[in-house]
Amino acid sequence: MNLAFAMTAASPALLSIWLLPLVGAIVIWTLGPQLRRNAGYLGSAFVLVSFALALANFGAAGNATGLRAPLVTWGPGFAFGLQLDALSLLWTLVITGVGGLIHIYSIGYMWTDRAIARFFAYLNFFVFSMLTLVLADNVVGLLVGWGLVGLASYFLIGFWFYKPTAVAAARKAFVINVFGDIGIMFAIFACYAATGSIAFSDIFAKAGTFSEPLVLAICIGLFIGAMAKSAQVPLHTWLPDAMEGPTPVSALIHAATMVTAGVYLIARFAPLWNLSPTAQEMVAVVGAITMVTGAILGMAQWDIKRILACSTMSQIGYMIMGVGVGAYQAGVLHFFTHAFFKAQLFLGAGLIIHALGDEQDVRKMGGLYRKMPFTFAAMLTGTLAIIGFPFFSGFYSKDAIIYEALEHGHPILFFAGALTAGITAYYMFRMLFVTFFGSYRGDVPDAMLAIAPPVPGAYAAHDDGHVEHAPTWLMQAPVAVLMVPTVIAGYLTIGGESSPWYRYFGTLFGHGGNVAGVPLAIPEWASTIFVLVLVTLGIVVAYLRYGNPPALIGAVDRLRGEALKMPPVLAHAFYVDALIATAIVRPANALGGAISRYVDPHVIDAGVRDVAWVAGMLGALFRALQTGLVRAYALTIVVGAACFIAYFAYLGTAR
Amino acid sequence: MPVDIANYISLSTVIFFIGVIGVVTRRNPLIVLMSIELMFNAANLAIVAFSKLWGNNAGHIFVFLVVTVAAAEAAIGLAIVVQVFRRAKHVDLDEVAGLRG
Amino acid sequence: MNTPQLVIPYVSADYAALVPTFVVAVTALVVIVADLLTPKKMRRAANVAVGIIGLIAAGVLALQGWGHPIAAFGGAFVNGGFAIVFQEIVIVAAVFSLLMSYALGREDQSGGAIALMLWSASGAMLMAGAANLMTVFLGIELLSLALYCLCAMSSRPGARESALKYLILSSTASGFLLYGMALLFGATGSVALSAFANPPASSALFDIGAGMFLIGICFKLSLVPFHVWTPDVYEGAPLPVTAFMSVVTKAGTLAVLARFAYAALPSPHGAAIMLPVWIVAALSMIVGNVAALAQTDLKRLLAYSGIAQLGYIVASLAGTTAFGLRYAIFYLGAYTFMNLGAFAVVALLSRDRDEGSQLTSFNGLGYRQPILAGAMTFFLLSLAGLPPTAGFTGKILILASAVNAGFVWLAALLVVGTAISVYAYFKIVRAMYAQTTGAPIRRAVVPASALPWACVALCAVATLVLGFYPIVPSDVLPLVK
Repeated sequence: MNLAFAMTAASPALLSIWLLPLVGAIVIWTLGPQLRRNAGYLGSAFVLVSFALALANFGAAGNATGLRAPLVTWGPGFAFGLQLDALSLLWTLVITGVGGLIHIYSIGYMWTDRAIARFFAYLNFFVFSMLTLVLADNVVGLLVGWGLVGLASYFLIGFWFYKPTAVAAARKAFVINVFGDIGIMFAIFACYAATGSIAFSDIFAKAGTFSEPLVLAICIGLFIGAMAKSAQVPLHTWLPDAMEGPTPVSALIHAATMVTAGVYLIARFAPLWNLSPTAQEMVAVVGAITMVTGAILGMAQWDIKRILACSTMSQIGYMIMGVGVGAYQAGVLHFFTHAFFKAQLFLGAGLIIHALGDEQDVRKMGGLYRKMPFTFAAMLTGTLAIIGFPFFSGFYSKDAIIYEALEHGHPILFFAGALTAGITAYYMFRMLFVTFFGSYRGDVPDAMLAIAPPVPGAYAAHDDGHVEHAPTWLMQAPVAVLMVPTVIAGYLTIGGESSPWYRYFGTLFGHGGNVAGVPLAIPEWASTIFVLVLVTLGIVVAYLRYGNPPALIGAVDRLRGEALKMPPVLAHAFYVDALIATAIVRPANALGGAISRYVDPHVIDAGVRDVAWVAGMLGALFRALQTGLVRAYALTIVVGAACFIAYFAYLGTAR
Repeated sequence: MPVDIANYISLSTVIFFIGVIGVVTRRNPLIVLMSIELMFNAANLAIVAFSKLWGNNAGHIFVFLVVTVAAAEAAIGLAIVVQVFRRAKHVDLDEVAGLRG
Repeated sequence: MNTPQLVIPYVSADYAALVPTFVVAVTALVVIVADLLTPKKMRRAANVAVGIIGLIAAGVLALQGWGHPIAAFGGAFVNGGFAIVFQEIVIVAAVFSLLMSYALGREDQSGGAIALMLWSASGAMLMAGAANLMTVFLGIELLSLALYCLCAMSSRPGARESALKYLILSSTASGFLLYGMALLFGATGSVALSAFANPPASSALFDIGAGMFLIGICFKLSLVPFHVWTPDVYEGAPLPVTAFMSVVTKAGTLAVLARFAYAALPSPHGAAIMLPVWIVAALSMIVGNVAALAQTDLKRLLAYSGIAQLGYIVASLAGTTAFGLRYAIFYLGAYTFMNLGAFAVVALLSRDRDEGSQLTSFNGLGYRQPILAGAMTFFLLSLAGLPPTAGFTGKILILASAVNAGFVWLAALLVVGTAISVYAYFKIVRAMYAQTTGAPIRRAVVPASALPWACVALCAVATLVLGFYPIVPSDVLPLVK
């Protein structure tokens, strides 16, 4: 029996980069009980070696074709392999580099967790999945990685599976991501149907021959996937919930790597997007909506991780808007800088949460800068970077996106971006003031701060006692290392088109559409100043509300009043959750069950309800048709047979 | 006087459809089993007639095979009917509808 | 003077082609004898052991024929790569069903039940090589008659009803099949499939004959609208029998369909004759998945999912391309493992007479039996066609084959069906991992049943490995002479 696949020699370095984390996952999983905490060191080592190899191949990947490793060929047009070009190398470096630091941090964070080995097996598996996604040189490999990443994130969000909220969050993320996978499947199917090949190179080579509607259809399919994974409105609701996972998971998956997969997808398929201005428009607008929505939601959160999650959503909105308007270099740069400062913010938040015994509500914090000066420095650096403070990394990437939106002829998106920058400055400094300044409120009763009592039956805060503490340096060192790129990563773009960053990507993305759309109203420095004014305004408002001495003294009363007066539409995150529950999660959970479930008071969109209702009705209809009566079954078969015979009688006489 | 092949085939078609109608309309499982036998034997009749038409023996062998299989089918069918209606006073297929949905 | 001479018309090579089938049939007899001879305590173990040894022997013997195609008995049974692949799938399914049956069923019935299962398997093995209407009919009836008895051989409430329904409806379909065979014979004057490629007589007779033949085939494959019997029969039959039926009848019938479509049809006209089959395959993909949404019993749900899965497999044959057949065989193999794996998980949740097939018995399984729940999730992922599973790989291949053959509408419907199915399967995953307000039905996994565990493990490994290394056998074009 000969097998229809052939193994071909492949670049050993590239294979090692890809497979080392998988080997790590398998080794740790099998030897878990013996390894205990050593699993952490082992897992970190696998990922960091992978990082070193990727760094060593920096030069090789930068040339025109990049590094290739063909793996398996099933048949014509069905060749699987890996490729390391400038774009995948960037992602690989962030996944393994930032990922490696988060691995080290996790050793300390999970020090007392009994299932620490399982945790690191999952983490390594996640890194492997993510590498599969970005290294694949074909659409099917990308889809496989995409699916594996979803699976890994499902395991990691639900890692503390005894917490019902964690399990529910994991499930929600999974359902929404599967919805996205189906969109990508459609797109892949269309690509293959049009070109007869699954390789990126073949598809892009023939992209010019695609008809306009086909390009649009493929782009829409891809974008559905990107929206689900990158938490774009209205598929964003799983992201804040996913904060139920351990904090390093939030940093690794839901800030630095997985959620940016949508950005990667759009950048990777740049040759297709460039062909369809309509699709680009759609992406840019959805990105902008997400950017604004995330920022507004961020103003209304009390949970420190949820604040960061909303800001993640908003920042990914920037990236999506950037790649949507055709400013690929700027969008990808923002991914790069964001990976550092957001990881740092999350890990800093993790330090606080860890020190306060799993307290995540900022109302119960306050005055921490004296107790935790290092953490304060880390959070401050991260905050300055995320709000785009001059000479911090976020300044360069965010400014580039906002200005290029104008340059590509989208003045509305330009204003939205600038406004969001101001809002970001406001809510990030709000978090900083409430957390680090004033006096410590950890011993103030919950009722005084208007913190809702826990739902009866809900799981109490996870507590392993924290008797035995990890060495502090284990958790602080990664944060300290991250501070360096948080500050300097943006300097790569100094010099505009001739900067190292732009030269590195060269012509990878082709020409990003209509640069000459609108005559420029203002030069770049004016745009920068405009944004900076708004940012300063945001900081000032935050200071007046939370940071000045009277506000700090009356903080308890003030926070209580604010919590009580929070507009319901914000407290419920624009009710999008209810909508999503109706559109996706609920049909998944209950399709075919009682019809009454679909008639739901929270339903906003009647069209969505009708689709679910029709599917439910059809299921129920087929149930009703299955009467159990032999004669009815026989009749069905005979009617089917009659149709067959009629067709064949016609065929026989017509021939 | 040889009978035209069309007559055999017409007769066999009529018998076959009587069998089909019997399966769909009758509620007594025994009659349904008999109707199925009618369908089988209509096919047998057609095969024998065609065998005569083509002048080969394959059809005859086929018919013997079918008769044997049909006998086994009837035996198993009766056994299952007896099992299902062991305690019932009368037998009605419409009452055998516990599995549905 | 002509003195009648005793002539043995066939040579030993003819019989050699049938040896694997014989071995399985004779093993059934050995099981019955072993049932009489062994002491009561070890009777069931002995029966299962004998059955599995016989099946494995048959599997090894069947592989010996690889690369030596032969048309035995004047073309009645054509052995070759095609027949062997299908025979191996039947044997694998039978072995797994026996492993599952160890945990279930009444002690005193095991000998007869195992023998019937083996006979049924030998019928399917006969169908795998059948290239003549008589062998096809014999194989189908041998397969079905044994299954009627197997369905009835249980004291579960629905078992007899399922047997009666199966018997009546399946016999009716056999009637159509047989009448179709009669007309095909009338149109060509031969019972050999090889004679159909250029029918000499009336084309109307041939076409109607082919149509009625295909009705019977579609019934056995449970394609919509000939699927109505499937959920009821699957629900009522004992679990190992359901598992067996869901693979073995499909494999045998698919072999007949593929041989008919690829080798026996007049070439310019074959596409028009097969068109209704592709249409019912498309219907099955949609109806099967939509109906699965509303199910609360695992066996019924898997019945509907099986209807859809068979739709995918038949869709791969659309256009009768060489690659399509190879991909269909690959998907059938993948389906065998993922489907039997899911059934084995249900078997592990079962106690005698009380099968754990209600959706409620999966409530909270993720906390009580994390490994079992993980395996079930994996099988469901594969059935839904999501990576990293054999189901995903198989579906990609089928999509490619349908698109290449020009059946883009079929490929599009396949994607739609897949999308619907995700939600049907996800219902089970949700039940396993949700924190339910009501207490889950506590159902301990039977500790003594290591064999179904082995079944789960083997199926999971196979589903994973096939997902990464799709072993698509070559040399499997069906022959008729």
